[in-house]
Amino acid sequence: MAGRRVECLWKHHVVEQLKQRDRVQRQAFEEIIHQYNRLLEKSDLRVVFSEHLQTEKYEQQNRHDLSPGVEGGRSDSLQQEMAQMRIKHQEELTELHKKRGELAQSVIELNNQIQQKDKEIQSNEAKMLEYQQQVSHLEGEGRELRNSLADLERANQTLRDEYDALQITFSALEEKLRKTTEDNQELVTRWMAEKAQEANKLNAENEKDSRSQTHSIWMLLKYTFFCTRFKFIVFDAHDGEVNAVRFSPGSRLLATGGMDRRVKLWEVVSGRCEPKGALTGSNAGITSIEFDSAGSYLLAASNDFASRIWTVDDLRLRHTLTGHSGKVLSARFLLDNTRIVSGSYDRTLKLWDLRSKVCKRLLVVILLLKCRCLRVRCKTVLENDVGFLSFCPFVCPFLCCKLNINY
Amino acid sequence: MTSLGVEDELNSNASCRHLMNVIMADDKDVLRDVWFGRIPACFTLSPEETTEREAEPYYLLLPRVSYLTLVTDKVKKHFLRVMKTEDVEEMWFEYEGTPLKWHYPIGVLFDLHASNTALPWNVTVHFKNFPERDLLHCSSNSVIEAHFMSCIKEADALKHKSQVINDMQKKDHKQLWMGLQNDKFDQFWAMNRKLMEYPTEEGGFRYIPFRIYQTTSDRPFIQKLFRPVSPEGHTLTLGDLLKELFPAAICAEDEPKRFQVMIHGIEPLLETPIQWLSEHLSHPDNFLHISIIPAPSD
Repeated sequence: MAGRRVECLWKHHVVEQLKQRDRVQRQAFEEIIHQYNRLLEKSDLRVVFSEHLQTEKYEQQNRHDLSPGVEGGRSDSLQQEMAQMRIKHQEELTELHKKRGELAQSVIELNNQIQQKDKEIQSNEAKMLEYQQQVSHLEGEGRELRNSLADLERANQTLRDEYDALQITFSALEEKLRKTTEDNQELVTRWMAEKAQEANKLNAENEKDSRSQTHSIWMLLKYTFFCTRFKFIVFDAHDGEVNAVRFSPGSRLLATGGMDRRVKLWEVVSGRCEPKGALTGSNAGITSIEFDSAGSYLLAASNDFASRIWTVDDLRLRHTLTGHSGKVLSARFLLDNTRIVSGSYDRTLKLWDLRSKVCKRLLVVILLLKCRCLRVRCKTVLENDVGFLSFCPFVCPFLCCKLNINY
Repeated sequence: MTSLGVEDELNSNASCRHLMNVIMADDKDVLRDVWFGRIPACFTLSPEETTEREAEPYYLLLPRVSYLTLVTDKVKKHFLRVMKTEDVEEMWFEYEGTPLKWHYPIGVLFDLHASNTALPWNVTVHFKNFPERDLLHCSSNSVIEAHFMSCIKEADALKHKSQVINDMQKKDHKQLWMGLQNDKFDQFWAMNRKLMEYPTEEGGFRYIPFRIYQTTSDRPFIQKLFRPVSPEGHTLTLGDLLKELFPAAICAEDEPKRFQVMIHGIEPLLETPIQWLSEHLSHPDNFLHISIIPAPSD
C-alpha cells in the first residue's frame, strides 16, 4: 500500500503539472489568438475591398478631372456616381453571397455522394465476402462429392471382383453337379440292372415253385376226387404237363390245358371223361383257363405271350389278346365278362376290353414279392372292379395262379 | 511516508480499488493532456525579407507533439500575401538566432530554447538564405511522414525488437501518421496502444527509447540502451536514468538545482518509473524526449 501511495504521489504530480502547464500556456492564449486571427481575416477582406474601391475611385476621379468645367454639377454628379457605385457594390455583394450559397450547396451534395459511394463500397465488400463464403462452401461440397464418387467407384470395383469370384465358384459347382448327375445316372442304371437280375432270379425260383405246386395240386385233385366219393378217373389228358383245369359253370364240361398247346374239353358222363374237343391256336403251352360266367366262352393264357378266347360250342377261336412281352401266366374274365385281365411274366397286368378289343390299361409291376403273404390282398383287389387298377401294385405269376384257385 | 496500521489496511482495500480506478483515469488524462498540449507562438516575418506591405505577426497555438512544417501552412499563406512570389524559397524558422530544426517535435524545441521566457513564443519566419548546415529540407509532407515513421520503427526496435511494428500492416502505419497529421487522438492511440504493450513477465520494454537534449552540447542528443527493470527486478526510475547518463542533473538536497529536467513542459519527480514515463509521456514517435536546461536563476 505504501507503494500505491508513492505511485499516487509522482503520478499526481505529473497530472497536476500538466494541468498547470495547460492553464499557463494554452488556456491563457487560446481565446485571444482565435479572436486575433478572425480580426486578421476581416481586415484582410477589408483591405481587398478598399483596394478595389480605391482603384475605382481613382478611375472616377480621373474621368472627372478630364472635364473640369462644371463645378456645381460636379458634386451632384459625384454624388450620383457614388450612389451608382454603392448600388453596383451591393449587387456584387449579393452575387457573391449567392455564389457562396451555391458552393456550399455543391459541397453538401458532394459530401452526400461521397457517403453514398462509401455505402456502396461497403455493400460490395459484404457481397464479395458472401460470394467468397459461397465459393468456399461450394468447393467444400465439390470435394465431398468427388470423395463420395471415389468411394462409390471403389465399392463398385469390389462388387465386380466379388461377382467374378462367385462366377468362378458357380461354374466349378456346375461342373461338380454335372459330374454328380452322371455318377447318379450310372449308379441308377447299375442299380436297375441289379434289380433286374434279382427279379430274374426270383422269377426263376417262382417258376420252379409253381411247377412243383401244380404238380402237387394235381396230386391234391386226385386225392380230392377220392375224398368226395366220386368215381374219379385217372386218364392221360395231354401229351405233356397239365397246367390248368377248369369246370364250366354248368358243370358239364371240363377244360384242361397243358404244355401240348391244346385246351381239351371233356364231358363227364357216367364216371368217364369223354373227349369233347380240342381248342387249338395257341403257339405255346397253356398256363391258365377260365370259362366266362355263362360258360360260352373260354379264356386261356399261353406261354406265347398271348391270351385267347374260344367259343365253347363251336370250338372256334374268337379273339387273341397280344401285347405282353412275356409269358402270360394267368388270365381272367372280370365280373361283367366284357373285360379281361391278364398277368404276365413281364411283370405287367393288362386289362382288356372285349368290346373295343384294346388293352385298356397297362400296369407295370415294380416289386416282386413272395406270393403267400399277398393272397388275401389280391383277392380283395380282384373282387373290386373299380378300385383294382389304382390299387394293384404287384403281380407274380405264381400268385395269379393261386388266386385263381381260391377264387 | 506514514506507516499503516491494520485498521488502515482494511479500510484502504476499498479505497484501493477506487484508487486503481482513479489511477486508470489519471493515465488516460495524462495521455490526453500530452496529446492536446499547445504552445502559443507568435510568428513574425524577418525584417530582412522584402515585402510589399507591412506584415502583421501571425499568432498560432502550436501542438507540442507535432512538427513545425506540418502545422505552419497558415503561417506561410499569411506571409505570402505580402510578399512577391519570386522572393519566396523554402520557409524556415528561427528563434533568437538559432534555426529551429523541424524534425524535432515542437514541444521539444520550445522546452529546449524558450521554456522559461515570456509567452507567446516569438518565432521569426524566413524565406531566404536557408541554412543548409543546420537544417534539413522539407519539401513536402511525405518527408515528415518518412521521418516520423522511421522514429517509430527505431523506438519499437528498442522496445520489442521490431516485432510489434513488423506485425502491423501498411494501413496501420498509415493510421498512425494520419492520426498525427489530422490531430485525431483516438485514431492514433487505437494503433499506438499495441506499441505500448509488453509481456507481463518482462515487467516492461526491452529498452526504453529516449533522447536527452541539451542546448550547450555539441552532440545533438544523448541516446543509450537502458533497461526499465534492473537485473534484480526493481523498476527503475527517472532518477536512475539520469544518474547513469546525466548525473549532473541530480543534485543533493542542500545544493541549489542547476538543471531542470523537462518533459512536455513539466518536471516529473525523479521517483517516476521510467517504464511509466515511456508509456504515457512519450511523443507520438514513441520516444521520450527529455530536455535538460539550465535552471532559471531567479
